[in-house]
Amino acid sequence: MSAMQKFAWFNLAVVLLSLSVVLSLLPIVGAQRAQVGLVILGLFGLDPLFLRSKRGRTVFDERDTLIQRRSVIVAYTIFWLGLFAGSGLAALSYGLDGAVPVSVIMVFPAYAAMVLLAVMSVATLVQYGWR
Amino acid sequence: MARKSPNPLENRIRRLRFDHGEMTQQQLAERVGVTRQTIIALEAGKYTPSLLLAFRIARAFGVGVEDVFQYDDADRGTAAN
Repeated sequence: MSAMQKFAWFNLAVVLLSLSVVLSLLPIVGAQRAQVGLVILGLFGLDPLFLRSKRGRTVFDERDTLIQRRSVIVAYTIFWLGLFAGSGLAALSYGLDGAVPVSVIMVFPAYAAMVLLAVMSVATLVQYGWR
Repeated sequence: MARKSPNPLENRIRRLRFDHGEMTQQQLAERVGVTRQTIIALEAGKYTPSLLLAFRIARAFGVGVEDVFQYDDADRGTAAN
């Protein structure tokens, strides 16, 4: 398994763990407080550890760059589609004259990062063949 | 009708590795500065290398690029007249 695959699996695991913590807290502490589970996303900070060089071995080459570039394009496309769909949903949820709560705005970047990294990771793993 | 191979670039990397003292994929990868997974993908015909990498691989074996990579232009309508 290449460094990029480990990187993608790790990011996917962090997203799934974070989502599962939020969803399991939801019925206990309510929607607003359940968002504390998003702190798990801080583990993304460990990402650079996967791409450090090991005893002079190449861990990232031109094929990885190409795969990463394609994954970023896929993730970016999905992100913008999601953003526009989310904007439409906000109008449906809160009404055209309604007000979006600040708490929703606060967690938005975390969910945006989650979508970006999850899509990027899946696209990366698909290109490597999941192995 | 013959089925076209998805990758028109064929290579003899595996053959050349064995001809060069059974060089391992890792040894070749280290020589040309890529990961072992890229060598595996190249040998399987799942990845087309950059021109620079193609030259590096050929130099690692001490041969020309066309001794390692062969472009199959049959039935593709792209051959120069």
